[in-house]
Amino acid sequence: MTFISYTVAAITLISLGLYAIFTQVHFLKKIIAINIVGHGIFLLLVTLSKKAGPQNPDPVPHAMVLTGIVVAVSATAFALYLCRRIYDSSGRTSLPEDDTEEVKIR
Amino acid sequence: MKNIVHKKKVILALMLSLLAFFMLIELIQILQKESFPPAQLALLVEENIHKTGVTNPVTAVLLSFRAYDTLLEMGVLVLAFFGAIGLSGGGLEYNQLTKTSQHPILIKLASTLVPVMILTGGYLLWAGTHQPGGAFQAGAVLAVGGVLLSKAGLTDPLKWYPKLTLLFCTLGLTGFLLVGISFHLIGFHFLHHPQALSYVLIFFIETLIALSTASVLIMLYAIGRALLSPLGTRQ
Repeated sequence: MTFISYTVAAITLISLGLYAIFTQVHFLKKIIAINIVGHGIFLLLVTLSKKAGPQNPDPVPHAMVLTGIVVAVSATAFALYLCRRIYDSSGRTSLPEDDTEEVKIR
Repeated sequence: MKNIVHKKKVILALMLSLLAFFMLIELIQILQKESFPPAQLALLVEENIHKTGVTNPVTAVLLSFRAYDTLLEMGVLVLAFFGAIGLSGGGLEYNQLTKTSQHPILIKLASTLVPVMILTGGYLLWAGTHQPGGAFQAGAVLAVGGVLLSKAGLTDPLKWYPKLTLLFCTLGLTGFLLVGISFHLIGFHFLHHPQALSYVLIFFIETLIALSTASVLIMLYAIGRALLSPLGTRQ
C-alpha cells in the first residue's frame, strides 16, 4: 500500500509540473515547474528501488537519483543565470511567443 | 480569443491526467509482480561489491561500477560554473567597495554552525564508504556553510575568484580524470584501478568531489549575489 501511495504522489507531482511547464509564461515559474517534475521522477525512482528488496534496496536507482539531484541543482542555477541575463539585456521575463498569446487574450 | 486559450489548457490538463492514469496502472502492475527486473541489478551489485573496497552499495555504484556517470556529473558542475561566469558578463574581480554589511545575528549563527557543518561534512565523507553518506552530501553541507559565511558578511568567496576558485571547482573533474588516465597508461582499462588500491583511490576521489561540489555551489551563489549587488562594480 505504501508503494502505491508513493507512486500516486510521484505521478501527481510529474503531471502537475508538466501542466505548469506548458501553461505558465514566466521563466521563474517554468524553472520551478521543471524542478517539480524532476523531484517527482526522483521519488518514483526511489520507490521502485525499494521494491527490489525490503532489506536491501536497489542501489542503482539511488545512485541515479543522487547524480540527478546534483545535476538538477546546477542546471537550475544555470537556468536562473540565463533568466537574469535575458532580463538584464531585454527586460523580458517570458518568451516572445507567449507574449503574443497574452496580447491576443487582451 | 480568451476561450481558445482556456480550451487549450483544458485539453492539456485532460491529456496529462490520462497519461498519469495509464502510468499509474502500469506502475502498479509492475510493483505487484514478484520478479522485478531491476532486482537483478541489485543482485549484481551485491555479488561484486567486495571487489570495490567499500561496503556502501550506493558509493560502490557511484565511484566504481558507474564511475563514468560520476565523472560526467563533475563535468556538468564545471560547465554550470563556467556558464555562470560567462553569463555574468565579467566584472567579478573582488573589490573592497563591494564589501557587504555584517549582520550581528547571522555572524553569531555562522560562527556557531559553520564549525559543526565542517565536522558533519567530514564525517559524511568518511561515512560514505560503509554507510549512507558520501561525497555529494558532504559537499552540500560544506556549501551551506560557505553560503552562510558569505551571507553573514564574514567573507566573500569572490576574494579568491580567478585562481583558487578555478582550481577548487575543477579539482573533482581533473583529479578523477588524472587517476583514470594514469592507471590507463600502465595497462588498466579507462577509470579502472587495481583492487588493492580501490579503497584509498575511492576515498581520495570522493574527497576531491566533495571539495569541488562545495566550491561550485558556493561560487554559483557568490557570482549571483555579485550580479544583484547594487554596490557591485557593474550596475
